[in-house]
Amino acid sequence: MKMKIKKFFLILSIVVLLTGCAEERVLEDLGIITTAGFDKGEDGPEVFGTFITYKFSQQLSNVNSPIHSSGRTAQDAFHLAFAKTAKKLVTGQLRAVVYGPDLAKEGIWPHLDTLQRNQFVSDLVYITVSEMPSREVLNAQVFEEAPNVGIYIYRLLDQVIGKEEIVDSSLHEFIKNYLKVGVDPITPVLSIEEDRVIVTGLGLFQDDRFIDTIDLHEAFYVRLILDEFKAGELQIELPTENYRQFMEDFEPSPEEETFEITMQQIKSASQISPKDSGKYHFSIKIRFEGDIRELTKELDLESKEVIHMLEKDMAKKIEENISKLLEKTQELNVDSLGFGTFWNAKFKGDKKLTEEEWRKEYPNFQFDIDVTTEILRNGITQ
Amino acid sequence: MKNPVNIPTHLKFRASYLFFIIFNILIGVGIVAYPSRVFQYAKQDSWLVLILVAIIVHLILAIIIFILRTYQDTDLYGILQETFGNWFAKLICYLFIIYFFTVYLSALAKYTEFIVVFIFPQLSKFIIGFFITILIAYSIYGGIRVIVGVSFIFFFLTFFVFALLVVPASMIDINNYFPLFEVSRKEVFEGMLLSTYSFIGIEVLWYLYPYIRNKEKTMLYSQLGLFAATILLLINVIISIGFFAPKQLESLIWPVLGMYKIISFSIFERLDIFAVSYWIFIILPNLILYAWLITRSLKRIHQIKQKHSIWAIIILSAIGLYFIQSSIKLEALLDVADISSIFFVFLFPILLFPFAIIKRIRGTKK
Repeated sequence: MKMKIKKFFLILSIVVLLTGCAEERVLEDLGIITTAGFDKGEDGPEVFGTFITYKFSQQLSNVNSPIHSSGRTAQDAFHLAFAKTAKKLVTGQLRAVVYGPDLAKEGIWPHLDTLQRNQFVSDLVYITVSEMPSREVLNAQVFEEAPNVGIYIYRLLDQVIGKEEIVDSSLHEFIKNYLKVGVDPITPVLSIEEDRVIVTGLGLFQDDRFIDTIDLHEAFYVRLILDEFKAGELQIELPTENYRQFMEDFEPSPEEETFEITMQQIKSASQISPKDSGKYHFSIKIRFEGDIRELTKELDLESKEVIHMLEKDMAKKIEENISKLLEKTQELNVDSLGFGTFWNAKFKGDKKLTEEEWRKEYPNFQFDIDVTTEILRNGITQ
Repeated sequence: MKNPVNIPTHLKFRASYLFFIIFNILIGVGIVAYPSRVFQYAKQDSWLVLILVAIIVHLILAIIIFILRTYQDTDLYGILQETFGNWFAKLICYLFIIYFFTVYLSALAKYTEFIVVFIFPQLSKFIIGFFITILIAYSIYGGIRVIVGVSFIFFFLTFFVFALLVVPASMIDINNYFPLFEVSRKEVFEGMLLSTYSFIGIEVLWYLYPYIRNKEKTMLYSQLGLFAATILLLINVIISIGFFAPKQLESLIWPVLGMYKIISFSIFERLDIFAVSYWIFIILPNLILYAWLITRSLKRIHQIKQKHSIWAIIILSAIGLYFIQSSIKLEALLDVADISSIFFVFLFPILLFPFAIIKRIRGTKK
């Protein structure tokens, strides 16, 4: 019996240890790519790739030294980069991919398909677009405590998405939205400011072609419709006129026609329901609640009347902003919010939108927006 | 009775273990590809197709057990011998052995394909297959009690890996399930035909039946095992439909493994690699049971010792793995297993059913 157990453990340990021999990879010999950037090459149909790798050295130098290479496709550019570094390049730790505007405007699906087909690339890779060529963004020299700019971009996006400022934009989300009839993908837009990478807004795509950018203010409403907030933040402008009677020391001046109100801890829920009335008609219901954090004018928040008025005016303002955003998407003909999928989930057969119909009809979609807001608390002062 | 099988009492096991055996043999490599395969026909109504197939399989399982009860204490070979005579029984059993081997080899080849694609692209399938077959040989040497024990233990290990699907389940898009009942009758039929491959394995009862100690409970526990497997398949199908875009799901070869790509923990970043390695716990009972079925039927026909015939299987499967290196050849093998399973698993019991009824009627007359 004892012999048997011994034998068993001998075989087990051999098998376990042998797995290490299968395909060995010495960490120090690897060029682990954390972020890749792709641009259109200067001449011809070439793709210009920029790769950021980890460095494992005794003296940690904080100098950013990306590897550049160009090839006919993204995969080719990656493949040809092997001659430009002494390390073996691997993609298992890829965290973000940045596409330059020129390339993104022509469509990024062929490049994404390569990523998707590569089983070593995680589906959680962030897909982003940059305002300037991606090689400039990846050349940023300031990246805080991150080991390299690639990890910095990853942490930045993680933080921004975690803070509920923009919607998630992983490879999986992008491919899902690209392949679904009735919704267009969205990605964050990166830029560079004072030598550091920043997020400037959301890029709207038509199929896989980058069309236009919306800023972070507008991005709030995209999320408001698409997703639910658990702890969001919003700043909104309201006209001073209606609140004149509640303001204690009011001195009318032309610059102060509006005042700002900041809401925090926003919880929201949205409901989109299509209605068949001969036209493509959608009702968008949004319930919105939060705490007041900041007012640029002093208001008597103890009176119920003021709170009610604020709630009503805010709802109106949000409705306005949402319809502005929707008009913009209709002008660009990008259904980033996926109204097409809501339609197709409700109606069968002939009423269902095909891809062509949806593209043709989206600018004619009609929306009823109904927002209800509630102010729960007004901070720790009255 | 011409050919009763006398199993020593110490080799018999309780019927409740059938639950684990049936569950384990049903859940194998098939589940990894199933959601996208059925989706090609039935779209968002795939779950409906699965439920319809499951009902039919429950009935077929009942038929198998009915036949086994009619003949009492014997297995497939004994039944065929009694009904059709020696020569025909051998022929059918040989066909069954070829079928078992096809299923065994396709499952082994498919699992090694996972390993090659996800973890070790440079490793030969032959080597991976060799290590797995050593484990299989070990279990066959251990005999039926070891095989039942493996099924029992690995059942609990299976749950853990499926529990991780909570993460993709939290990301599903409800719109993907609607509109309901859009699928046409023809597509339902095609989807059902395809779904049968996910339910191969219930034929294990043909040879396992004599080993059960309390035979009156066979029906209950094997039906429960089938039901549990159906629920797990259903969960996988439902999550896959919600998680992927329709076109995306159609394009994926292994959607279930694809869903693990989205899971990431700070201490373990790539859960898909973990899931692929962990799948050995799901696939191993499956392979062991099929290897046992082959050796057992050979023993019944020719009294070849199972310890000897297992080596023939190992050598044959090694040769098979050597020839199935490309995924196209693997698909061809899977198609063969697919089509033959419709006959061996589902049509065969129905064909045998009238004979069992005749035997029962004669028995009551006497």
